[in-house]
Amino acid sequence: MNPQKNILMVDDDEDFLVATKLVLEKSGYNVKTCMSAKECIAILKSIKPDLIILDVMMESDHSGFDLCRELKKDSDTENIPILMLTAIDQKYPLNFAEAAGDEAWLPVEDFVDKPIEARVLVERVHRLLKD
Amino acid sequence: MAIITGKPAKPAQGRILIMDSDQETVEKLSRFLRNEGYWVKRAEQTNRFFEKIKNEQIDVIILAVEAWGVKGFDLIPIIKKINRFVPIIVTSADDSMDVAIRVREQGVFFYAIKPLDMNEIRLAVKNALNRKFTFRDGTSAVHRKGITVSDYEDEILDLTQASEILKLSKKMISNLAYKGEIPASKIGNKWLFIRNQLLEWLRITAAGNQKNYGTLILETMDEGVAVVDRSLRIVSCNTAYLQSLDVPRDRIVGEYCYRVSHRSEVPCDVSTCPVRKAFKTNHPVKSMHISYDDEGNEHYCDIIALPMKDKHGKVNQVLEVVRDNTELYNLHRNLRRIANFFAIESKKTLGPVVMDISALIDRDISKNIPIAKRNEMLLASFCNLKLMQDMIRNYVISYIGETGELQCNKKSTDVCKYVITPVIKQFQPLLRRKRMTIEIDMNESRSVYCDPDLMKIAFCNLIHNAIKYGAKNTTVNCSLCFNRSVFEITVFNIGSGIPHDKLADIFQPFTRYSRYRIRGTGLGLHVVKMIAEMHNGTVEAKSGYIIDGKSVDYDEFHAYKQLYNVFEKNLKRFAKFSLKIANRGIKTKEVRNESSKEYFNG
Repeated sequence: MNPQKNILMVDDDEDFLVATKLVLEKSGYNVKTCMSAKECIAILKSIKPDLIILDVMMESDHSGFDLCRELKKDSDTENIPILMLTAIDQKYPLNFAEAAGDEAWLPVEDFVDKPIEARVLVERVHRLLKD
Repeated sequence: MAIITGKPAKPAQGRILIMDSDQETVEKLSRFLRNEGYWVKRAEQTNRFFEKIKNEQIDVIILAVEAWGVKGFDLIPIIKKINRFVPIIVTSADDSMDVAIRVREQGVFFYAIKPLDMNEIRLAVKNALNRKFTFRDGTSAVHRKGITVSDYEDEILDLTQASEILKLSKKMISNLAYKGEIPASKIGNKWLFIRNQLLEWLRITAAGNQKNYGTLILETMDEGVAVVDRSLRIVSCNTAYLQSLDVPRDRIVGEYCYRVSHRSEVPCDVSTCPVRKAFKTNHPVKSMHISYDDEGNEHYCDIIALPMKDKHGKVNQVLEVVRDNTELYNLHRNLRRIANFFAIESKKTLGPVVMDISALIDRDISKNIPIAKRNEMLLASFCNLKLMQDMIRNYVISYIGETGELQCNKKSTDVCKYVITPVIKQFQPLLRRKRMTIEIDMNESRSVYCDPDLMKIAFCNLIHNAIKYGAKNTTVNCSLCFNRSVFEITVFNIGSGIPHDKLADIFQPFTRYSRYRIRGTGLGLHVVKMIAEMHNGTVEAKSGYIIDGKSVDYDEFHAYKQLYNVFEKNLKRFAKFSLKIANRGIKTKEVRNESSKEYFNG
């Protein structure tokens, strides 16, 4: 496992950020967190993480959906894998499992449903970072 | 309100109501139109304006798009609801395409751009009046025997005319009107009738007396039913059908069904129209339609078309049954929305709890976590679970409250012992986590006549709110005031404050300070209000900025902005809630005579 890998996490729930950051750090990653899409774009100008963990529901004007599409359009960030988090039920008419990977609609590498257990999240992150 | 009631030189040709906040235009227009021989009235307030349309006979309305900050075109649907026949002339100083389109969409008679061309207005008013007195068949009311322009509304009848229509003596009609059996209004000493109401009464009375079971059964149905012929004209219909479309009977019978139900000038396509399909296939057809009323509201209707065969087996007419399921559909949609909202909010709140606890029980992960961190994680989980517990309780309480089943068992209660202390104890972990303190200030301790369980819930919601939205390392001030007839709890906190635009409806269900970052269902304060009302009390919210250690509410701040030499963005905000309930003034021994303070440290 490469301990130097960087993860950027974007979520508007502070408690979740704190909990997840700790779990990922204890699993050997460097984690940077932010709470809005704006902050995320600003951080991406200075650092280039190996993975972005993104929450679907954020500020209404700039949701996780918009942000991931924007990141995939930008040549600087298009190669960074994105793991999307969602609290929307999988049985909801929006089928994330099918939508994930669709260039036009949800161009993310993987997605997980909240609440998620620490072990599952760490495994998904390992897989995406090919550790 | 100013009414210009100067008597015109010649008999008035029509009554015009002007609504515009631009005094100059109003003066100019009213002077011009009065010289033209019209009665001119003007309304200076929206409510007065609607009153006039409702209570007075107005022939033409001249409405400005920019009137008292209301968009004129937003008023059009309401005007049409009150009086669907009155022609509307809209004026606007804004010549943009956007306004023009919006105005035209509302179906106004004429649209004039300011500055107004008086010749244009003269022509528009004249044409509007002509149209008003022109019937569907193209003949003008003026040319009809016995009806003159001064009759304004062809629909209002006097006793003589009513007697001709009902074929009853005037005395009999007066008697029936007096008993309230015939729809009528008494103006002065005269009875006045509305033609459509009279015809409807006659029809129902006739239906009640007739032997045609078919018509009778149709009348008893809640669904709208119409009989449509092959040319798609409506031959007959029941009252429910009329009510669903809000159109008088004489406008429906003989009219094309697509013009009545879809307000379209062309028939619907055979693939979508159940009536046409039924004619084509000779079989019953059912489909769901979405139609729009005058105000643009959606209506979801099930339409069933039943072919009616004559004795040769040929279908000449189709029975169209319209079942409006809008309420059911909306109820279903709202239920789904609430269920989704609740599911998402609780899943989001569970997110950090599951993450923390699953990390703690996973040996590989937890072995690297120091003890202090583990304790923090447990504390965070507990706080989130407490949030969930309150969310669920508020959801249940507000639901029971809505159904009117919430019990309020008031009794003499020592609020300090049974409400304040237990609630504050509950919140110790949350306070510890945010390093906050609660300061309780009370003038005396007295029993209060209230439901202790409900008061506990209300106080718990106020305190939870103050902690959730309060800044770290601050103090929540809570004061209890026992007056002879009123018991008041005030909760004050420094933190994110309540946004100015949310202040007005913060007690509405599902209203939150901010949808993001801080979890909740937006029901807590709604529940507080509900409980306050059950105790004949009120709850108020205030918010604003902290300037030099003093709390200044938004209105005061904006009024004296220059005096406060500060940047609004840099200021700390406060939120203050006061819950007042009526107390019966129970006399008990005063525990403390002097003001005392208690501190509860997190």
